[in-house]
Amino acid sequence: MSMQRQECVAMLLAGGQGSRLGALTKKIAKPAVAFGGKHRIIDFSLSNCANSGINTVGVLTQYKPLLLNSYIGTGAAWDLDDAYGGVYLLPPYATETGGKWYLGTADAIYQNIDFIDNYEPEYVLIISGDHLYKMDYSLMLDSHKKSNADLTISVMEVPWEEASRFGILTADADKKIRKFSEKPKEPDSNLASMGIYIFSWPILKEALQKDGANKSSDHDFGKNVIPMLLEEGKNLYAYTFSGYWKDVGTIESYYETNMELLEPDSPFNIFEEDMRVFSNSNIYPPHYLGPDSQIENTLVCNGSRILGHAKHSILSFNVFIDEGAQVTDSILLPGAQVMKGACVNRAIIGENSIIQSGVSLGGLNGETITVIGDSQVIDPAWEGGEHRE
Amino acid sequence: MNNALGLITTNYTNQNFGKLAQSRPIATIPFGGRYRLVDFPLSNMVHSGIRSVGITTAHYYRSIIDHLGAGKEWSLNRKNGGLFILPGSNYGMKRFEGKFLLRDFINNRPYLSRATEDLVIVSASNKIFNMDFNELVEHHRQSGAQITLLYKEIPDAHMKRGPFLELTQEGNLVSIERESKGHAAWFMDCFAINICDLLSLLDWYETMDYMDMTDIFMENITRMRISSYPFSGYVGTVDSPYDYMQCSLDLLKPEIRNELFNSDKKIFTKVQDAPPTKYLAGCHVSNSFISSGSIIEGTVENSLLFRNIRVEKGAVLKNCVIMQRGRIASGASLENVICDKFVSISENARLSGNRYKPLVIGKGEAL
Repeated sequence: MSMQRQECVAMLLAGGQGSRLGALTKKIAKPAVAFGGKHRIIDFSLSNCANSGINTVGVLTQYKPLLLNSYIGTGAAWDLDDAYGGVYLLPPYATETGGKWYLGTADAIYQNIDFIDNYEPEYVLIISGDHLYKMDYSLMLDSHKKSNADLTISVMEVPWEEASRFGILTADADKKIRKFSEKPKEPDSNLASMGIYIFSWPILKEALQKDGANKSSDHDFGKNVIPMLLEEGKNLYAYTFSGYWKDVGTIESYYETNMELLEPDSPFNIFEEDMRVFSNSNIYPPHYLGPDSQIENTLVCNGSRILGHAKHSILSFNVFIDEGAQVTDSILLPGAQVMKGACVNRAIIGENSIIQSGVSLGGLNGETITVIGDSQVIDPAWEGGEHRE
Repeated sequence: MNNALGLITTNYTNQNFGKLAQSRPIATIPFGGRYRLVDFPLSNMVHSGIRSVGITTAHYYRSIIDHLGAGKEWSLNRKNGGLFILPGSNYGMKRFEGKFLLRDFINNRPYLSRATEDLVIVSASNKIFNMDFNELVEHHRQSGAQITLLYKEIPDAHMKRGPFLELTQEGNLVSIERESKGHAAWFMDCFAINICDLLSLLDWYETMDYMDMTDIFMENITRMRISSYPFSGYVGTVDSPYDYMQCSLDLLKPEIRNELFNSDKKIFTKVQDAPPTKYLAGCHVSNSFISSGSIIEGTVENSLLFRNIRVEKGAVLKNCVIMQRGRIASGASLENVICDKFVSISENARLSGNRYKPLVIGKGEAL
């Protein structure tokens, strides 16, 4: 490990299951779920680090990390395989007194104090691996320094009627935070925390040690650490972010957020060339559209073969749509195949799953989204629900 | 791999190409939607287990270095072995005859003499094929030959540009011919040679360094054991815009596409991370091979599109190859046209070549 001193080290929380994504996170962690055709969700936070000039990133993993580990690799795909930094995968580990899981977001950082100390940083950036957004953290760091804060929390204005779903911050005109309330019933502010924090390292270290010793704590930043710092009268400031940000917590929001990419004026622009979003993709040949293919309002990635029809859909790497097959309002994840004559409507087809000939998935005008997990084979006898392995 | 070194030559060009090879060697002509020609020999070497590959450069080598970098995408950024950029000789003009200039071997003698391998596979960069070179190496070792030339048996030699190999029944070389007719052994611009024999040739011919390696083979036909090996798979050649177009359209055939790209032996290339391609309502696309980052609203038939292309509403492309960042404005109509990178075609323009002579639009031209 190079132990070059760093001004700011990023700690990326990637251990969560994302259980509300159901079949999509049955075998992989939420940050590893494919998004928008060619990405996995963690691409966004890793690319943000690279685009913000942060080259030392600790990635905290816990839930089903196999795909995540192999996907992140050395971090080279995001230009993070840096001689003066790098990406470090930090799973829970054993010590002479035994081993334990990460008990919460704060505990995951607490157990890696030594990692951070190696770099003697002045600041630590805490981010999540499961959010979709493009952000230059260096601007937030500037704001943190300017206000001489102990902790800066990135916030965005949300519609008042939705404020009670978020962690809400109440701040003065100079953005100094007075109050933090987790999902308040009667919010007095509409500034929602985005789960992005910059701490001055000595303050964070002390807080983690205090929280770590507290047996009744859930060791969570939002629930325990931030309220504790507020109570202690530390300098907490809000940093307002006005771009696109989304935490795709549910199948519905995952589906809608993907589908938004097909809109001509999509609020989340992954096509623009500034703040590029990188990904670790295999080198696939270009995609092929057959003589009788019909395609409309659809995103297609390399390696795919489209012989049938695709309408208002997102087709990831290496997807196959056979002759006479129809895919509408759907998301096909990498390697998904829809065989001859099959019909897929308003569905999410997991990685490397096969929809056999004769299958018709999803209603035409139905509200529900049919989700097929990874590596499933769906034949005409399938009747929905949890599919057998 | 069977202890072999790789060497790719790019220090030659060919007048037929005109604009396409004006600012780049043939090796870096873009091909197949996202590749460069050099990707094919280079990937073949890598997936055959060769761990050291040298590339002799042409004097205008910017595009080679830009494309290959440190060889990361080909897993050639190694501590042990890896990619070696070998400066080709620079004599102020482009080289048209021969693809294996002796001087380029002599000038880079240390790359060969320091190698621990005992065999080198030498390949030019104008043939499209996907092959495991272990076949060639195994044949070379078993036959006890000093040199083994790779060829493809073809039925229509009058349609192809040579060289062709005249062989004995046992496959030993009799002569190398520029032209041939009917069934012939078409040289694939690729051969295996024992490094000790190559070093001897470099010493013998030191004062005649303007010669081509294939001429030297001819002169030594009685002195050395020169064998041959037939390749059975698909071989595309890129020696002119006509060839380029034929070979590009070959990629629309599923069996050729499968052989070249869908085997375990991947063709590697520089990664650019473009977003997916967006097909808008009203587009008509059929039988086409299309790379990422494009936005398609018009009609595309029997064509190949590289990265970041815009085909606006009402634009029509038939039998075309459009390289990176082409813009085809609405109402434009193109047939049998090859557009180099950064070309922009204005509204309602009509451009067409014919099957035998595709129209080539040069890099960055606006029409």
